[in-house]
Amino acid sequence: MFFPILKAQSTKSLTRSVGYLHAQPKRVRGLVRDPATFLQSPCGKAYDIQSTSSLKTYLGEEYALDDNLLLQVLTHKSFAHGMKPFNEKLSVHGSQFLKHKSAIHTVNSEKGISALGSLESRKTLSTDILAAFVKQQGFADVIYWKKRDDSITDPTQSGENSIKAGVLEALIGALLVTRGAGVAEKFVFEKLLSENSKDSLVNIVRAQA
Amino acid sequence: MPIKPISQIPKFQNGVGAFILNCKRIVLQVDKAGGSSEGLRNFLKLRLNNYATAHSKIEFTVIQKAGHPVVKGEFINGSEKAICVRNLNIDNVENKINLLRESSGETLRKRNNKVESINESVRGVWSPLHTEPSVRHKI
Amino acid sequence: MNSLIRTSARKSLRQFSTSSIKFNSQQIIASEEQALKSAPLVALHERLNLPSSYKLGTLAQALTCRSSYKQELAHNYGLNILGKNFLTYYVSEHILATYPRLPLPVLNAAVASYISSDSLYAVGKYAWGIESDDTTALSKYLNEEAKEHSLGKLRFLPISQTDEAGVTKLSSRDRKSIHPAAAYALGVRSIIGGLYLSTKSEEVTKKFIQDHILSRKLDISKMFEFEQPTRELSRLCERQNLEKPVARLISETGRKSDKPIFVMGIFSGENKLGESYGSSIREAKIRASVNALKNWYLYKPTTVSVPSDKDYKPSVVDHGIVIV
Repeated sequence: MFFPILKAQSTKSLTRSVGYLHAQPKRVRGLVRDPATFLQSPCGKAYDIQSTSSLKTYLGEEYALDDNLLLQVLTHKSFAHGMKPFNEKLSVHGSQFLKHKSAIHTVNSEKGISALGSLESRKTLSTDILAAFVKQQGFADVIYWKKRDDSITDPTQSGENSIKAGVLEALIGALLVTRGAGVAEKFVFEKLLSENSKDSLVNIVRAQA
Repeated sequence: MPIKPISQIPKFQNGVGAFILNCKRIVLQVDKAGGSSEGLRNFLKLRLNNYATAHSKIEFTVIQKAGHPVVKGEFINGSEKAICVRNLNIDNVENKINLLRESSGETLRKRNNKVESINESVRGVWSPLHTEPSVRHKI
Repeated sequence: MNSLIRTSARKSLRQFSTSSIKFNSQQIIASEEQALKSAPLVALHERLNLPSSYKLGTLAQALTCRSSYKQELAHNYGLNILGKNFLTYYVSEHILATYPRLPLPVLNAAVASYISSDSLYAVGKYAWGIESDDTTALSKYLNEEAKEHSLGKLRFLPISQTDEAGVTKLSSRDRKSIHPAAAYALGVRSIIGGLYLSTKSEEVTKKFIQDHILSRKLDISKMFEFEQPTRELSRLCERQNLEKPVARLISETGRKSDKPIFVMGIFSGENKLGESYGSSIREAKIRASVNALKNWYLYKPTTVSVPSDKDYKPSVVDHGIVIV
């Protein structure tokens, strides 16, 4: 049912303020924390629009994106209890687009349809390879997320790899949603699936083998 | 998780998007020599070739079996309709086949409303609680 | 009268026997000449309005699952993967463009509603009218059925469902046997994969998916179940820098009667976020919160265009689901 929006008679509402900021390292229950203590990446970079610069240089003029969107791409759902825009859906969208384009790429290459579902094609889009790509491009330390457990250092165990892979997928998703499928397709073919590009996913797989 | 999804199966609406002819196969059961099959036999001899070419979305199967002739339609929803065409002439046989071809395959039933829709009313449902309070009916 | 009598050449029984399965490395796609002899195959091709570049042999391949006894025919493994990628992308693109703020669990459920095995089974069986090839080799022989006839039917090894009460089957089931719903889903996905392979046109494939898969009616607004709607709403308002949501009574009737009705609205400052009814004030408040949340999550742009459209206009980029 839809009804016209009504204006409320009285706009007064009671507000409650019980918390106050404090910057002590020790947490005190019931007190609001100083945002600066938790709004930072695991590497210690503050949550700031300036930190997108490395990703911005990587994308260049051709694939330029809005700064706020780039910050969203770099932010995982676990960061700041989801109060900042995060990349969850962008990465799902990007991942599906990547799989779709990679299937088309394989079918149209000389390998043909028989190469679909092969070990190599599955490995190219695996989490580890996508994470290796992000690490190589150097925007891994400005990814904002919260570790499940600080004592785990192995990137496959701590979820670091899947977070990095998610950022790359979210980047594709962001290009797709704001610039359309044409630009995103060009990005995928040029930077990720091309054999000529030195650090494409295909070549990372070959280098690891 | 704060939001739980409830899964549903979408409803098929034939003709929204693609239209798929409901009749997928017509089986023509004919007697080789029986008198009641003469109309169907003539149809097979004279018209089936053209008819099947014109309606290539339907698969035609001919079965020879003693007894009265029957034309049977099979539909995409899994139902079947059989019509006995004994003693009918060639035109009437074709009419019966047309009937099957155009049928949706659903069982016939009484329709109580002039319009049946699976969409919600665009206008919404009238509510007595949203009328002007001064004219609202008081119990 | 000769035309009436089915004259198919007598074949030796061995040719139809399932026991003589050969595992050839070279699998062949049925030739057009062979495929033309299968009436169900030609009719299916016509019924789906497939373009003429879509070869009947490819369609027959799309209907052959890996577990089929016809091992000499090429199977649909690759076509299935291709079709699956197309379906997943275009269906989720469509839903995301229509409802940019849809929460991920609901989005996943909506995509699954369109392309899950059960959903594609319904498409394959009750919309496209594909039949499965479940007559035995012996009855085919006795019916003098042409060898090519079954090319137009879905071929797979079904899991046997003839469990008798009180009888325990000790032998493990055949690994390759699959559930009919899974087989139909394979067939439908492969037909879509085959469409791209034949036409090499993403536009044609997209149109086909829109016409056949997305044209079905799905009410996404009925797919939500909130656990703590009032709490989630106040969290949402906090995140979006809106004033705290307040519930107000809009109208009521029969407060002291057996069946009272209350209509409550949820307001943030001067703006009404949602409204609903209930037989108690508490119920009405919860319903109104759910209504407000649905108004937020089910935001729909006035003109919907998907990223793969030529004239794509970007709409909202969602900030993500509210975490309580």
